[in-house]
Amino acid sequence: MSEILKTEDLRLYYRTSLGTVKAVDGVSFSLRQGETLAIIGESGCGKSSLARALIRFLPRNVAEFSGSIFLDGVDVMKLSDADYDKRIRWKKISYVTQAAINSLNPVIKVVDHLIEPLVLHLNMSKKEAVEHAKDVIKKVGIAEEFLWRYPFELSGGMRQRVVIALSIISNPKIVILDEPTSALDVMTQANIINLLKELKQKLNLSYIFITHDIAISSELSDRIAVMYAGQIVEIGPAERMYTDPLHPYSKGLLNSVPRLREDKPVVFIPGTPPSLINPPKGCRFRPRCPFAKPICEKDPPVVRTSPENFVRCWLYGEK
Amino acid sequence: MGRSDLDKLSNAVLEVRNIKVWYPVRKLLSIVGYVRAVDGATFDVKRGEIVAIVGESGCGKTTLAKAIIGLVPVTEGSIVFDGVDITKLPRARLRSWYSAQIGYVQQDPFGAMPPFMTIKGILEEPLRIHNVPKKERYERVYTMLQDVGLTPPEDYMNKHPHMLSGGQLQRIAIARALILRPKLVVADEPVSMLDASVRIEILTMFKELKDKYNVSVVYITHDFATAKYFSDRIVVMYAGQIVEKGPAKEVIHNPKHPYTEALLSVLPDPDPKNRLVIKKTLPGEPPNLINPPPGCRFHPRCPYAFDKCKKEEPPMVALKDYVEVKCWRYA
Amino acid sequence: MEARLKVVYIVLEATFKYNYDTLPSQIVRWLFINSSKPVYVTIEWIKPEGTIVNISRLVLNQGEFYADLTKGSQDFVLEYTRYIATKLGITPEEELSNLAVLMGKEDPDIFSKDVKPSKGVYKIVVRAESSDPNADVDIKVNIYGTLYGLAGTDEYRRDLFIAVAWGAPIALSFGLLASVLTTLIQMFIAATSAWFGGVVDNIIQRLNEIFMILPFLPIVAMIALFYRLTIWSLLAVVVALGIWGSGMKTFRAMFLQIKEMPYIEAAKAYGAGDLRIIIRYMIPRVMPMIIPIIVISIPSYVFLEAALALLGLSDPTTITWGKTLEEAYAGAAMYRGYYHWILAPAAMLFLISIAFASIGYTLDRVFNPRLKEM
Repeated sequence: MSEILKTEDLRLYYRTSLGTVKAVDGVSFSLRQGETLAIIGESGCGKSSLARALIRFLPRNVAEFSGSIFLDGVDVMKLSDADYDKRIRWKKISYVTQAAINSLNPVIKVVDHLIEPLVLHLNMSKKEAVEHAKDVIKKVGIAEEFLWRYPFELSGGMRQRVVIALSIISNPKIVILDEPTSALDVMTQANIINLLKELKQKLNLSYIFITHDIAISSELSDRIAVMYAGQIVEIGPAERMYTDPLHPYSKGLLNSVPRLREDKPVVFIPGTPPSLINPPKGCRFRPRCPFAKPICEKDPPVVRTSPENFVRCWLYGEK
Repeated sequence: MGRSDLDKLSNAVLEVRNIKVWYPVRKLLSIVGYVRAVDGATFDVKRGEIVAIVGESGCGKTTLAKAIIGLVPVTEGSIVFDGVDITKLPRARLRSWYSAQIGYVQQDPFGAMPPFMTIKGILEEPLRIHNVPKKERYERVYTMLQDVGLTPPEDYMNKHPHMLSGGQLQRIAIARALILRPKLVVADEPVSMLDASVRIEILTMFKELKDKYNVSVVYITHDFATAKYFSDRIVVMYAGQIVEKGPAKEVIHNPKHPYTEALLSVLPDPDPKNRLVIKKTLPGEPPNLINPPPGCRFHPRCPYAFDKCKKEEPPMVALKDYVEVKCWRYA
Repeated sequence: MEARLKVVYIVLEATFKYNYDTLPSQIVRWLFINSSKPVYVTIEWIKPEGTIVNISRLVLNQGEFYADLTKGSQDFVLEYTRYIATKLGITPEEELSNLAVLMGKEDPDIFSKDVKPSKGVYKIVVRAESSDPNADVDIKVNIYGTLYGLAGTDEYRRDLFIAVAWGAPIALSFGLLASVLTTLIQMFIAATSAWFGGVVDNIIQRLNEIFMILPFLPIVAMIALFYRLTIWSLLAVVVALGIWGSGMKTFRAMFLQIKEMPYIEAAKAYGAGDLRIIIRYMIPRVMPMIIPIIVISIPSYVFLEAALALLGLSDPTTITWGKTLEEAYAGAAMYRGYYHWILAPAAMLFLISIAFASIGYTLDRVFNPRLKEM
């Protein structure tokens, strides 16, 4: 399993009337082929912005967009928007949104949604594209007849399957899943997760799974990155992260989720996440951390726990 | 602690008996059918108890909640609150008396607050409507803000909703629901729109206030995990009917109804082993509420269904440990 | 014994300076005779050059006698024309105009259209004879210019600036009241219609649709025909007819959306009554939108009143800009070249439009900020 994606010091800042929002503030991580990386964090931590930075869906008020994104060894940040659109987006890396109901154009048939990227970017003929669409729709478990329907004629779960089909139709290597199941029923959620598991195996996809639902993240992730205030505070393998994370915030996050099967007491983290406009100096979690020390007023070091994983905390730093 | 345990064991605050809420489906001017949003629900809520109504979207839990509050008209059945059948109450009385007995917390913290009012104004509204004198109004608003953890209250009184976070607004929603000292609060998915880590914080605070003011709570949710944490008893709904009721821990660790069983088996806990398993899910989808299947509504998807299930609707069977199930396997 | 006839002989002299570059528009004179016996009056008009023009030779009794020296064919014109033609050695093709005679510069241009005025001191001498020893004679001469006031004058020589200034408060109050009343009433009816739904909504909307079809102007014209409209009753009619229409439909659509908001449901749950919900929960939601709408509609109502006045449907006794325009129209101002008569009120209408539109659109930007950023 080779490394397929690597970011270095990725930054995405927005300009707003209240100041510059540092949504992604120096994010570095790597992803291997066939691996699923879950990015978990509370709302406002910047994880959705990270997704948008990776696929370059940027709003108009960008103040800064810098750093490196290496896809198969090539820094795609150096590409122009037009080049990125032609060569990378949807071909190497695609995106599944949240709120699937709104992400499909209600006046366009399902089949037309699916053939669009093929005809526009891969220069397929319409006939070829339709054949391709039939193939993909079967892969996501929808009967072929639904190709000729409009999105409103499909249930929520089916729409989400169409969105997933759309994301894999041009054979990308990496799929970014941004809260793919948040608007769905429990049963439908389970079905979609099953589908994602199957597709990952069959097509050897790599997933970047972004969610605030820690329990759901365990359904897909091989590795987990915990984001806080625009930075990754810890990244590590699933086995360790769900049972014994290192960073105090990761610990707090996991302890605040009520368990269905165990009777583990639930502890919540007091306080609120900091504003992304003026994050505190030094460790951003310090105001809420039960283990805070005077040295935490300085930016904590990135302590490697393995070649690809790390934790950003003074508890594990150089003495 | 509020009152003594003896008080808590006294009469039921709410007795819902065979409630049906049917919405007519009209084509032009004639009625061609009914959407049976709630089709015969029966349960009790005792004083000081928290009852969770759990189910997926479309099962009727929100309609049931609104019927209890008096926001939707009831087609059949009775809702007896403190001895009074509110389904028979005239509208004026509902508004003047019942609205002060019951509190309502909604799902969307931002939508539930009028954006042009200050927090003080929002909290004062119920008091104003029910003619609470001015001095007492200020005191109650002040105390309530302290109770929900928004201190110092002066900092929050003159703010507008858009200046606060979802968690803070939900605290205010809870404050607003409790400010008239109701006997019952209906909370419809109060923490679903909040971050996972904040949910427990809010629910914990809610539970403390429930004890302090000795209110009963009907907690509507689709999340079993918070239901287990927060409530005393759980009622499971499917296709407009109650399929299982019982003490929270019992229902979760020992589900009797096949639907409850299936639902619980699919819900994940944070466990890295989950990713190696393809979960077994139920086939099909919840039934059409206009034309539900005959007999047991769950039978098309039930792994244990047999002949009787397809023909006759099962009764609610009482089992040990205060559990009741609506299933032919236990009859 | 010889009886001598007593005769009174009166001489009046007056001078005035004239240094303008254009001729006056009109010269009129009044003679005031107070005498029991007839009076013989002559009036001499002496130009700066020294030429004497005998403008009148009259025998008058008691009374007040008005004459417009610049109108009509008068004796002195012919006399003078011959004189000046001889003096300048030009053969006149036609008669001089009265004004040229009285005040024209005595050079060949006097016969052309470009006759310039003679600048200098003019003298008027009135000689009167009467056998009534107590006879009294007085003269008053008015020389009217061509330009007066900031806005000029209309054909009755009334200062248009006064007309326009007088019309301003009426225009503003009419516009403001009409706009505010119409919008507020419309909003309230729309809120009620949306909130109660069902039969109430149906009735109000069908009523609205009926009024939308009925033509506004012909109805106002009919009402004006049958009843004498004061400016305030016109206001009442405009409001009564103006509340119906697409505005109400728009408000209703907004209220239908607001009605579904969770906080309205919460209000019902804690016992808020219908009226309270409409007034305290729904209407404040649209207030930020209303204020710019009210301000921006003010000019429409001002124009409406002006248009109605132009058609003669407004209050005939109130001076408004529309009334001034109506008089200009009736006085054929366009054809007579009195453009200022039209421009003065029109400019005011124009300025008021710009003023309120600017304020209104800025208020809109203040109250309804567009989400320019995240």
